[in-house]
Amino acid sequence: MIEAGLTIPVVVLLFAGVADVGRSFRYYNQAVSAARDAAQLVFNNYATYIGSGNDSAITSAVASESGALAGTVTRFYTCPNANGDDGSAQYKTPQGCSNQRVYVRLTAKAPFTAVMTHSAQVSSAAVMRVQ
Amino acid sequence: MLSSGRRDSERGSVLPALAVMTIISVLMAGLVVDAGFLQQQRGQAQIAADAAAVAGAMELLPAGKGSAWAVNAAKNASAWNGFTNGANNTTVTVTPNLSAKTLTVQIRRNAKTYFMNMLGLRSMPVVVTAVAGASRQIAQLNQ
Repeated sequence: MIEAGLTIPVVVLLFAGVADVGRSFRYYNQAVSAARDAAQLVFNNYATYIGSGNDSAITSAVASESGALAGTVTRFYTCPNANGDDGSAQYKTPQGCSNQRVYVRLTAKAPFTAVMTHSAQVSSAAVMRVQ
Repeated sequence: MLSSGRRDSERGSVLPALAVMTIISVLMAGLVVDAGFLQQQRGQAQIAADAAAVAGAMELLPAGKGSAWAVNAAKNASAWNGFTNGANNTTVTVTPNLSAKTLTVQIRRNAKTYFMNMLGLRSMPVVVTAVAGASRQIAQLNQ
């Protein structure tokens, strides 16, 4: 009885932790799929979503693609060198350089209620070149 | 009814059994956690490979700059997605096919393990591939 009293709480905590980790993996995979699908959606509809400069349309598309997940969209620009290498500089605004590249970063967030910590959130991001 | 001698011989037998079960449970939980982390890495790597293939294929379009730029563009896109060639045990291999106007990207990362490390497996390879084609005007990911 004493042994059971000592070990059962440990085992229960262990299983609760495993359940939370398992659920976080599940939601993370959902976020990854959403980010990937949304990136392809935006890429395939570049003229509609990006070319128009309509960020709210992009956000709606991401939210629609990712179901109940929250999606955010940001874009950045790079100026590749003579070899076509971006380097490490990202710009928030168009630079007007020759061969400028345009990237869109789509983030899908999946909040969920955890057993151990009440609330948690996992997210996944995809960066897609669109121009 | 049990004699007091038999009861004495069984005294304390639950604790070792529970200890063994707990160790087995912890090891199994560890394997599940490691498998989950590897699955996560695979998901992110596939995103990076897809993005890299499309970014590279855009340089194979008529308005693009050719294969050297395609390779760099693909590696850049992979890096923006967290998979930089040569960093964190990651290898990004980009193979343009100029005649077919396609570009293949393979990302390989030796992902660190946590619990499997105790069993001697320090890393596990995560390998993903994506192929994109460049038609006359657009680059398209081949699913």
